[in-house]
Amino acid sequence: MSLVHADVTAPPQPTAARAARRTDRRHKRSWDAYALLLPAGVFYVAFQLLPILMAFALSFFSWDGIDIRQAKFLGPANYVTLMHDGLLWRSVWHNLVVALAVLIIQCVGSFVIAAIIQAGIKGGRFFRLVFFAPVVISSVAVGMLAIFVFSPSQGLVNEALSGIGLGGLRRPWLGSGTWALPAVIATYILQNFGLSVLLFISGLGQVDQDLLEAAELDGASQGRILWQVVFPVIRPVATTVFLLGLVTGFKLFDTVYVMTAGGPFHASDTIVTYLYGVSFGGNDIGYGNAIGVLLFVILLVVAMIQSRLTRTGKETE
Amino acid sequence: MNSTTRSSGPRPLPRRSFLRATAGAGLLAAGLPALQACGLTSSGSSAATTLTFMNRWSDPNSQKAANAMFSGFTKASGVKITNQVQPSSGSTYQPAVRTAFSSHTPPTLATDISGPEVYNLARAGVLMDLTSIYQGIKSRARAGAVAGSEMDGRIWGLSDGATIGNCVFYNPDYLAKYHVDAGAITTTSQWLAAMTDIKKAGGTPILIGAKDQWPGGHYLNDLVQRRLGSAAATQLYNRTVLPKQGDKIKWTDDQVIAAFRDYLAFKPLFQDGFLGEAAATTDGQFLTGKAGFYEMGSWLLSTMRQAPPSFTPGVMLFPAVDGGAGHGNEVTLANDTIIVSAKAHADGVREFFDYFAQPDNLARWSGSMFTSPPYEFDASAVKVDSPVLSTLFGRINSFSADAGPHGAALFNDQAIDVNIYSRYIWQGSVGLMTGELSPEQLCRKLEEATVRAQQKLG
Amino acid sequence: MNFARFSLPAKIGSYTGLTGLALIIIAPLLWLTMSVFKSSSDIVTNPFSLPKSISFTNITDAWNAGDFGLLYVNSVLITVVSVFGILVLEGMAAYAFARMEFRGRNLLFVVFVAGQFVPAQIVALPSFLQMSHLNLADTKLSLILQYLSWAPFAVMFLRASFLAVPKEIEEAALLDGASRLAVLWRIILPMTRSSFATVGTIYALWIWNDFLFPLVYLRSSQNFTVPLGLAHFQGLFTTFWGYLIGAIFIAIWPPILIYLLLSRQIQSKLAMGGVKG
Repeated sequence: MSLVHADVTAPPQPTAARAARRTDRRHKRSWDAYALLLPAGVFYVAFQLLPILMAFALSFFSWDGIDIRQAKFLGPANYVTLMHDGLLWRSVWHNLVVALAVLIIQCVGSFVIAAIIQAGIKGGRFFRLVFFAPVVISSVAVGMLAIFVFSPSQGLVNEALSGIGLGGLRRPWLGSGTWALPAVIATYILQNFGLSVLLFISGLGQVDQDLLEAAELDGASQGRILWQVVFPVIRPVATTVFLLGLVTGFKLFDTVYVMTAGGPFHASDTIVTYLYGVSFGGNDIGYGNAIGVLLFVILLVVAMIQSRLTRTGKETE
Repeated sequence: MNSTTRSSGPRPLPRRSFLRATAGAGLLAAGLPALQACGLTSSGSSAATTLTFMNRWSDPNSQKAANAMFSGFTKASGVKITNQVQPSSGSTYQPAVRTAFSSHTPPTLATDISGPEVYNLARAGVLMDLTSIYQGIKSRARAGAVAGSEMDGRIWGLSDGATIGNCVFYNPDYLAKYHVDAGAITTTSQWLAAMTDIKKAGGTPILIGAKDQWPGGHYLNDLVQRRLGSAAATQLYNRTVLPKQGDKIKWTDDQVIAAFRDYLAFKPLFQDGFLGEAAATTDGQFLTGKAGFYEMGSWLLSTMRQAPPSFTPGVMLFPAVDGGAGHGNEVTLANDTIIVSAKAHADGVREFFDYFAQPDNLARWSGSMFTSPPYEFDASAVKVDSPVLSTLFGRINSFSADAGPHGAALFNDQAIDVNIYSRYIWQGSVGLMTGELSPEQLCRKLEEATVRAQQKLG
Repeated sequence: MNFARFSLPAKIGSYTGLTGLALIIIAPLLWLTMSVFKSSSDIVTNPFSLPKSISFTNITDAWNAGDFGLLYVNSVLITVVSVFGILVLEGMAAYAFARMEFRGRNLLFVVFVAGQFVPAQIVALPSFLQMSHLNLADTKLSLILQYLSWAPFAVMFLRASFLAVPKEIEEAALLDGASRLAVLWRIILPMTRSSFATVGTIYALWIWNDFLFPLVYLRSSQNFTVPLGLAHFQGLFTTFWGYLIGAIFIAIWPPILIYLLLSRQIQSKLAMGGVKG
């Protein structure tokens, strides 16, 4: 048959066949996609998901961490205990405080700082360096340093307060029921906000320069520019930064543990420090894992709320 | 144009990519031997004829002493021994021991604190029964050799040295400024009175690093022991870890509540901001002459070796409490025990303990680690580098000698179940000081927790 | 956004705020650097005065006692291998999630991301038992394997970055007859380079500073990493002042210096994110 003949006389293909070919293509693409996912997936499933599942399973047992064959099945008993554990819920409250502080101070603050730096403030590079430097240090080291800084008798904070005449504000920071958690939060934020600044700067760098110049030529105010030109581009980065801030805030451990170990008298306990005390201090791995499951659920909820609130039109999946 | 009949999306990736991915995985598997070659898979675990010794002697002096002891052992016996020294960070070492013994390659030997940690490991069946090995050196053993490692008539660990927990160090020069003579103090009321005078005169009578929680635990330990006496205190603590102990002595007994209330008497005497101060800081402050008294265990001598004090310290035991059943010469022991894996070969282990318990080795060990290993050795053979430390150490050793056979009790954080002591003794001591807990409340919580523990133990 | 166009109060506020923050961060680091050259007793008696004489013993003693030379080698090896692996593995996965349609895409993405919602503290022990079963307990490889499983953040961030590449550019190239692979290599990757640099940096930091997994997995000091070195000097009841300050100093300054040296590279790569064309 000649080509022309085929073109002219070929009838439109029946829908079934067309549909079959589409799923066929989809099927082919699925295979390729799975191929790309496989390597990462192997490691992730083997060394992350499997232990997680095991940890979840162990939350129904009582185990002291020595011989796993001696773990005792408890059913949901750990979860019942969990519901009534006042100290645990106090820790959850502390984490909410942390999350709020991180969101408001760290995320919003970092954005503002990033915008100022990106806008070209003098010394921008110097500020970038200084702010990011603490991120590079291990939080264990930072925590140890913070202990000295907050020392009531000879730490920088109290000495500085006395030095500027505010001696009345001296406090036994890490030993005070009211100030221990804020001190820890302040240390944590000061150490980590540089990362958010960095991420925001990276995102701001993707803003269309031409659009910016056009808006400025039009005489738009800086605020208006921020809102209409910058925000839309920044959204996906902002979402990541916020989520990262929330998740790491809820998983907060190192800084607290080194500085106060959750003290004084549980005043600065976070979910994970409490969990650690239960699991490794108290030999009750099962209960600790139940707390871990609780944290997982909390974070899932947080992530879902966050994704709902920041849904953008871009997510065309 | 042909383009209109093409699909609008990009062409799918070639089949090659899938093969590439599997090849990658295969490479990893094949690469394992290569990785092994560059040391990525090397572990320090032993072959059959090498002993591995897990410990927390991680500070420089202790490491030196431990390595010296190990090489001496190897020279004497021909058996190799690997020093698996771990970071000594307190909250991580005990879990590390448990984890190590739960793995497929436990260490041959390990140090651990005596008491429930050892009992738990023994109950889990991961420890070697050392009863027969102990018989071999029993004649040379002193009281305390198996304190906190004996269960159901069997021995599960042998002590490598005890430190004394209820010491009170003092600065004679500082005290002299306020006309206080530490040697004249025999009761806590005298002690508190003297310290009140110092405080009134504007000095710092005593320091505490309460932020770290365990220093407060010390006071609760010392006061309870003075009020109850060592035997009764031990009975009380045992209710938290051993089954069928009855309840002859309760946390809610008057003497115990009184002991906790005694601790409150120290509150106005501690330095400003003591609740937020780390023990590391107060160690340093005491050693640079900033206060009169400092309650601390005899391990402070190790710190003194690294940071020599600016004065000649004196040391006494925690004074007696008026109306208490305990005497001022009773000591609190922090016992360090060596436990052995059930999978170990008994012969190499026996050789090690035989070597360790030889008098001259003990003397050397004692002097370098500032501990008192509870076996026979010549105290005068102990060499301590600095004369100040030598005097102090001699005095501390005399404490254990003078305590008598029944005058010692294990530290509360070694004798009490870890859940209970970390939450109610350590954290509780802070709660007492902040006022969040009254002594009665704390004792009640302790009693409830102990009853629960007894029920769980059967 | 042009700083020159900020209002005056905004300018003043900006300078004050940023400078103040910078001072708060610099002050403790300065204090640390000053203290490390003092003797132990001097640190306690005169915490805020300049050192009477510069002494390096705190640093050298801590370095030797903690065997930091070996620790650094281990940390570098583990970090470099892991970060490289992560970028390759998660890069591939993120690309699939961003640019391909396949069955179960949404579900798989959620599965990949959900791992970060679980605290590492409950994963550590089961994971250690797993490694022990595989005869990998107490090895550096066990750490690398664990770190290579830290997919969630990388997948999330790289996927978002791939999504931000305008489809038109890709499609134009494909229409011109380029193969998908060529498009990936020549167009998409260069445009997302900054994101890879960011993810690489972040993971390098996380892995370098990780304390929990080395603590649980490792027992032989020849395999220890830098964070474990810090813990050597903080006993339960004893603390060795001079060593501790020395160790903190050792732990803090090298990463900062390396960052400062590399920052030029990192900043340029990060800022050039959305260069057109």
